[in-house]
Amino acid sequence: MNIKHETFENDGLKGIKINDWEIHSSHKPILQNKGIEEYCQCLGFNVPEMLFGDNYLAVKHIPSGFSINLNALDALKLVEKGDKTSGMLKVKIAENWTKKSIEKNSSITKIVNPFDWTFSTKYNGTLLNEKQVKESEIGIDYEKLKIPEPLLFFDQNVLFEDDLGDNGVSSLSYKVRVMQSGFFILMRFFLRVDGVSVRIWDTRIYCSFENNLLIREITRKQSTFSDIANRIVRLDKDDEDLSMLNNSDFVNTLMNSPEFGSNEQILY
Amino acid sequence: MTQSDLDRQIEKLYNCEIIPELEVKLLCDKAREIFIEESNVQRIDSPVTICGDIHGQFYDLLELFKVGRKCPETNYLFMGDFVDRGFYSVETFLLLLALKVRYPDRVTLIRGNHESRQITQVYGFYDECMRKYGSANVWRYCCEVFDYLSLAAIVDDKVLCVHGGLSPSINTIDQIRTIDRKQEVPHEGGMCDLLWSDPEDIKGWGLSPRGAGYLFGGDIVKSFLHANKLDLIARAHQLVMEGYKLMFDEKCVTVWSAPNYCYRCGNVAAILRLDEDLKQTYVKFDAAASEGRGMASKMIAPDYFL
Repeated sequence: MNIKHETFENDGLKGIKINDWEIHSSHKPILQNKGIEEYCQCLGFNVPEMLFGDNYLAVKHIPSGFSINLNALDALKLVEKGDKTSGMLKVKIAENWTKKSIEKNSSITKIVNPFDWTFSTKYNGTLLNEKQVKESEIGIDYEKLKIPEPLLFFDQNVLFEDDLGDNGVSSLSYKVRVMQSGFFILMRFFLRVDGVSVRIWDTRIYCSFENNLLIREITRKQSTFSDIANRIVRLDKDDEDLSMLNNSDFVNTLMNSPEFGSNEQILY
Repeated sequence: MTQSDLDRQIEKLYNCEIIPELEVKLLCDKAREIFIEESNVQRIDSPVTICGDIHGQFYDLLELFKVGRKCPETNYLFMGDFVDRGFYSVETFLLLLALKVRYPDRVTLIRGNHESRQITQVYGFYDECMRKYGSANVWRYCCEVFDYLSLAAIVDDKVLCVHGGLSPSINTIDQIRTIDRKQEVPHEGGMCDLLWSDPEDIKGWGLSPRGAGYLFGGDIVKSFLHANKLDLIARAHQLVMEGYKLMFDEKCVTVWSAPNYCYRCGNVAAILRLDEDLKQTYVKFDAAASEGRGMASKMIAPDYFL
């Protein structure tokens, strides 16, 4: 059965209309200074170096007015700040650096605006006009997703990215693909603190056009940096290539099994 | 290595072609001989054009030379971070190095935090050397040059130029001069701070929430300038959407010279021209059309991700 659909693209906005659904994906440059200042004020911390504040994915169910939106601002609102962050991750050299700093410059003790500088966020999308979100016995039908149906629409996009002052990477990005049988979204928070830790926190959303079932799967993986790096290189050599650790798809294949996982059904 | 050898290499590099490994070695040896004679704080006379991070965006560097005029016509100061992230770190760094060797008095290169063994292994330069030369030798030669780069420059005794910023261990320019710089960038101390620290809207000094690194406020800048009879600190190190950003009553400026950084930020770049009276002119420029071509085809390939 051929479902009618229509794709469109102009001025950084692309998308598709299919069945009762409309999907928009917006690609814009990073925010200007003024926008950055507004975000900083709203959030209360220094925003990621590359803040694509005008990028988003919007998935709208026309008849019901239900929508899923992925955007940087809502994601960053879930980043921890204040006192809660004192026991959080630090860069590899932190302990030694702090010791030396206290020796040499003991008067400097103020941590400027403490917050979770890794921008770790448990964001899993902004829902609007949903009826209910409930735990689901049924997971995402990956067998169906493995069928190489023609892709009527595909896009990938970054919401924010930061190199953590050259101490690794923190990024939130998404991919979306639309087939005759449904649409599938993967939003990924990827964190690599060099020499310390790696996190991959994924949100997958799948809607089958057959039964209109909308499933959201959340998985959170964490590994130590050395576990990951030891699987690809010998760290005792001083000239190894670590650049493949910038690729989250590759790193994902090296991660330990999830420490958190859940399936939800979203009713709309 | 004769001048005509050099001119031939420069021409090749201007076309974004690499030069053979043996020539890289000779070029790096020659460059090191020059850098070894330079002070930690290079003195430069105005007029000079000051550039921030380039990050291997070779075609954008050509764009920079278009708006700033070619070397040696213009006297250039590059404030580090020549390599990593972009597709052409090899061509970018070797071109700047060849220009330095050919016109030592018209080009000044100071060290950024990416001119380091550790950082280049993660952010692309090592990988690129392996791909383009099939071995890590070129990366090694370049890293040896990195260790000899100056840490700062001063224009007409009035404008301090440094990649990152100030250090609580450094109160005077003379203290920078006494650092033993010929080493890998240390993890802490004055040399590290000069390449890593950031200005921030605070009073005094602060610690980065990451657990390493200093942040300095406007009062720190003003007292440093006053104590050293300086007018301005020019630095790079941080992406700014508009290409440059003045802070602290225009006593500190960040200059960023990599347009459309990482082929996706959509930012403009800028260079700072100081005339013979040290009057500042900021010249903005956009990304070259050819710079991101490789990226565009990479980005759109749809995949059956799960």
